[in-house]
Amino acid sequence: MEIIDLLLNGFAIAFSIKNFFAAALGAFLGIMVGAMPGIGSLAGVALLLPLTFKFDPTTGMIMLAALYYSNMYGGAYSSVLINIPGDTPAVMTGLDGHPLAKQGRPGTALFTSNIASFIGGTIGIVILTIIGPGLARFGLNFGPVEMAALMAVAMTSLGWLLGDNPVRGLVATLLGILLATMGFDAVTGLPRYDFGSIYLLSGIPFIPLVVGIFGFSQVIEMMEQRKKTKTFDTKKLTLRDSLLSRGEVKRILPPALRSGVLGTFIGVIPGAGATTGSFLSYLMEKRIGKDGHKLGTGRVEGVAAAESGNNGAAAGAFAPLLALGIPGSGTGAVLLGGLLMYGLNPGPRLFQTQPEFTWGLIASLYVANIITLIVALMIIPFIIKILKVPAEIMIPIISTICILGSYSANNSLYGIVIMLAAGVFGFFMKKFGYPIAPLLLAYVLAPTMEKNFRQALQISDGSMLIFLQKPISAVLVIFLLATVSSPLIQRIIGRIKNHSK
Amino acid sequence: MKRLNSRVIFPIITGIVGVLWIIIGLTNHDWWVEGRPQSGFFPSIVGGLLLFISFLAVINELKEEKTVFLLSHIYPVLAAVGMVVLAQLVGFFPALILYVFGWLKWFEKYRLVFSTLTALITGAAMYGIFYMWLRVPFPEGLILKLI
Amino acid sequence: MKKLMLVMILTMAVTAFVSAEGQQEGPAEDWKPEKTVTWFCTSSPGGGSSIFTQTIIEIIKEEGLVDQDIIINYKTDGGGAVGRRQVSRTKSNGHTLLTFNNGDLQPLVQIEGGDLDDLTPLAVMANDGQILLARSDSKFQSGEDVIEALENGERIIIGGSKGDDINLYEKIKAEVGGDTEYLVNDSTGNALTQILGGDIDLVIAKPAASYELVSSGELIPVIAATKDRFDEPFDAPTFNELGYDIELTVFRGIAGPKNMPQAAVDYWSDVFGKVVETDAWQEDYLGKFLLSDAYLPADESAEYMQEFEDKYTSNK
Repeated sequence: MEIIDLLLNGFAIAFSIKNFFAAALGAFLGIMVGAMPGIGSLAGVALLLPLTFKFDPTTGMIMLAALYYSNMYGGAYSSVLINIPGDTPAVMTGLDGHPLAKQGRPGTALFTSNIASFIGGTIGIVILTIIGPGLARFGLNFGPVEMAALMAVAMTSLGWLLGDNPVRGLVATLLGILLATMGFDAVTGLPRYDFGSIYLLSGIPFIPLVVGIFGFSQVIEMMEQRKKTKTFDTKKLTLRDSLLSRGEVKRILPPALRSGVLGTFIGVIPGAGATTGSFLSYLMEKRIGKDGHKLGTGRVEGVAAAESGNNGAAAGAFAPLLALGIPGSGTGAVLLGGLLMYGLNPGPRLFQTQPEFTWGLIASLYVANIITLIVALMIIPFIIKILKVPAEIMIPIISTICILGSYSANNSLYGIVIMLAAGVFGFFMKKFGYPIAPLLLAYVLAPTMEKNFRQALQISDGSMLIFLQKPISAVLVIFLLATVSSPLIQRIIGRIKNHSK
Repeated sequence: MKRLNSRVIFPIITGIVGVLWIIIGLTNHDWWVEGRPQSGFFPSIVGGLLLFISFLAVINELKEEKTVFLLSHIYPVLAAVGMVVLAQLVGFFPALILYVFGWLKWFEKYRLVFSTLTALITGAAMYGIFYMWLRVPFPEGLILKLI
Repeated sequence: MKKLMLVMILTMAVTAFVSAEGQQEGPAEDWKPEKTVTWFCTSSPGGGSSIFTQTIIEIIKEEGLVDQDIIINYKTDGGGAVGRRQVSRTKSNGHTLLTFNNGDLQPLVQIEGGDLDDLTPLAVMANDGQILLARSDSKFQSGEDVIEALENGERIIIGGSKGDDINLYEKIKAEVGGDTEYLVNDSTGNALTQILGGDIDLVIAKPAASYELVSSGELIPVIAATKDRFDEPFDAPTFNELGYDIELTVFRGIAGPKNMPQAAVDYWSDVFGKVVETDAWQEDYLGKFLLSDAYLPADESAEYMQEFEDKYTSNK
C-alpha cells in the first residue's frame, strides 16, 4: 500500500501545467530527433539532456522521460514514411509500416505505431512498478551462457524473415554476419578483418550503413517513379482516414499486449536492448499471430508488435538502471548521467533510501508516456502530407538528409562514404530481390552471440555441456532444437502422408 | 545456354567475400585454442557457409529473368558525390543549397523561383536542425578557411 | 569574479592593441580562442571519459574561463584511432582538444604505430585507480583469500573492461599466477552485471562505476591495485601489502594536435590549472569518484605521459 501512496504522491507532483508543457516540448523535440536518420536515441538524448537542466528537478525529470520515450516513437516516423529507420528497432516497424504507407495508409501505420508504443511503454512501466527490483535480479540471470542461447534462438528465428526466396535471404543474413566481424574482436580486444585500414578498425559504422542501405538506395530506386504523377492514392491523407477502424483496434490489441510483456522482459536483460525486443516481438507475432504468415505485406499487427516490443524494452531497461545502477544501453548510460545530476543514486538501496524520488520518477514515466502519445498523435496529420511531395523533389531532399545524417553519426566524411557505398549496394540488393532486414539484424545480433558464446566456453573451460547445465539456457536450447527440427519433421510427416495416399 | 544475367554477379561477389573471410580467418587469426574458439573461428565458418549458399544462389539466379537498370539510376549517386566534393570547397550548407537548386532547376526543369525557394528552405531547415540545434561540427570548406 | 573580468578586459585590450599594430605574434599569455573549440572524445557518451570531459566543460562554462563555446565531438571510429589520427593531423591553431587517457595512449603506441610526438600533451588532470571486487556472499572475503586461491591454482574467472583492465589482469597473471580466465567487456557496467549474476568470481573496476554497488554492500573490495589504500567504502589491502609488486596508475589527461603554438599550450594549461582548483572539481568529481588529484601542467604532463609511452613501447 505504501507503494501506491508514494506513486500517487508522485502523480500529484507530476501533474501541473508547467510540467505538461515541459514534457510536451521534450516529446516534440524527441520525436523530431528520433525521426532524424543518423541521430539515434543515444545521440538524441545526449544532445537534449542539457535542455532539461534548465528546469527544476521534477520538471526536468519528466521532460527527460518524455524525451526518452519520444525518441522511440520518432524512429517509426521516418521508417514508415520514407523507409529510412530513424533507429534500429524501427527496422522492424518499417517491415509492415512502409508497405502500409505505400498502400496509401501512412496515417494508419503511424497511429498503430504510436498507440502500440504507448501500450508497450505502459505495460513496461506497470511491470516496473510492481516488481521493479525483482525484475532487475531476473535480468542478472542472463550471463554469457544464457545470452548465447537467447541469441542463437534469435538468429535462427531470422529464418522466418527470409521471404519467398530463402537462398537469397540466407546470402543476405550470412553477409550481415561477416560484415559485423570486421573491427575489434570483442573477446580478445584485438582488431580483425580490418584490411590494414584504420577506418575499418572498429568495423563498418552502423548508422551510415542503415541510412545508406535503406535510405539512399531508396533514392536511387525512386529515379524510376520520377515522372509518374502519383505513386499511390493521396486522397486518403486526412486525419479521418488515418484513424483506426474498430476492427483494426481489435486486431492490434493482442499483439501489442503480448509484445509489451515480452519486450519488457527482454529490456531487463543486460545487453539485449530494444532492437532485440522489437525483433523478437515481431517474430513472435509472425509465428503465433492469427494472420502471422501475412506479416510483411503491410499488416497493422506487424507494426503493433514491433513498436510495442520496442517500447516495452525501453521501459524494462529502467529496472537494471534504477535497481543496480547499470545502464543496459548507451542511451541508458546517458540517461543515468542525467539522473545523477538530479541527485538520484541508482543502486540496490535506491528504493529504500530515496523512495519519493524513485516513485516520482516512475510517476513521471507514466505522465511522460501519455503526453508523448498526445503530441505524437497530433503530429501525424501534418507529417503524412510528406507523401504528397512528388518523387523528383524528394530525391534531392532525402539525399541531403542521408548525407547530413551519416556525417553526424560520427562527424566524419568516412560516414558519408560508407553511406553512399551502402546505398548503391542496397539498391542492387533490392533490384536482385535480396531482403535487407535480415542483413541488418544479423549485423546487430551476431556479434553479441559470438561474444557470449566464446565467453561461455571460457567460463566452462571449453565444455559445451554448460549450455545444458544452466536451466535457462537448457530451456532455450531445447526450444531451439525443436524449432529447427520441426520443419524437417513436418516435411517427413508430409512425405509419409503423401505416400500413404 | 542463355546469355549470362547480371543477377549472377551478386552471389559471385558474396562467394568471393566468403572465400576471403575463410582465408583471413585461417591465416591471420587463431581458430581453436584449448577448447575455445578464437578470432578466426566464427568468421571463417560463416564465410564457408556463405560460399556454399552463394554457390546455390548462382545456380538459382541462372534461371531468373534479367533485371533492368536505368542509366538514370546512377545520377543521384553522382550528384551526391558531387555535393560532398563541393562541400569540401564551399562548406556543407552552401553546397547543399546549390545541390538541391541545381537538381530541381537543371535536372527536373522546375521554375527558377520554385527551385530557389525549395533549396533555400531545405538548406535553412538542415542548418537549423543539424548545425544550430544538434551542434554537429561540419567542416567549413576550403574557401571559408582561406578567408 | 570581478578580478577575472578585469584581467579578461585587459587581455582583450592588449590583444586588440597588438593586432592593431599588425604584429602576428604577441607575448605568450595573449593567445585566446577566437572561435568555437572542438573537443574530441574517443569513447562513447556516458562512459568515464565522457563524464570527465563534460565535467571539465561544465566547470569552464560556470566559471567563465573561456569565452568561446566548446563542443564535444564524439569520434569512436576504429576504437578511437580515427579521432586520434584526426586530431594529430589538424593544422593546429589551438581550437582542437582531445581527451587522452592511458587507454588511448596504449593502442596509439601498440596498435596504431603512433606516439606522443603526434600530439601535444596539455594537462594531466587526475589519477584513477583500479580495484578487485568480489560478491559479498562469495568465498572471497578478503585479499588473502584471493591470493591464496590464486597460489593454489584454483580456477578463477575475472571480468572487467578493455584497455587498462586487461593490463592489470596480465600483470596479476604474471606476478601471482594461477589458473585464471579473463572475460573482456565493453564497459565496467557489463562486467558488474556478470559478477552480480554469478558468472564470474572477481571483477576489475574503478570506484566511479561501482560506487553504489560497493557502498550498498552488494560487492566488497578485496585488493586495490594502487599505491595506497582507497578511502571507504573501497578500503581494501593493496597488492603491495599482500607481497606482490602490482601497482597501476590510470591517468586522465588532455592533449592537443602536434605543433600547437606555445601560446595556445600555455593558455589551455592555465585554464585547466584553474579548473582543478574549483570546488566543483575537487568535491563533485575527484571526491565523489575517488580519483586522486594529480594535476600537471603542459610541460610536466608531457614528461609524465612519455614515461607511460616508454613502458608501452618496451612491452609491445
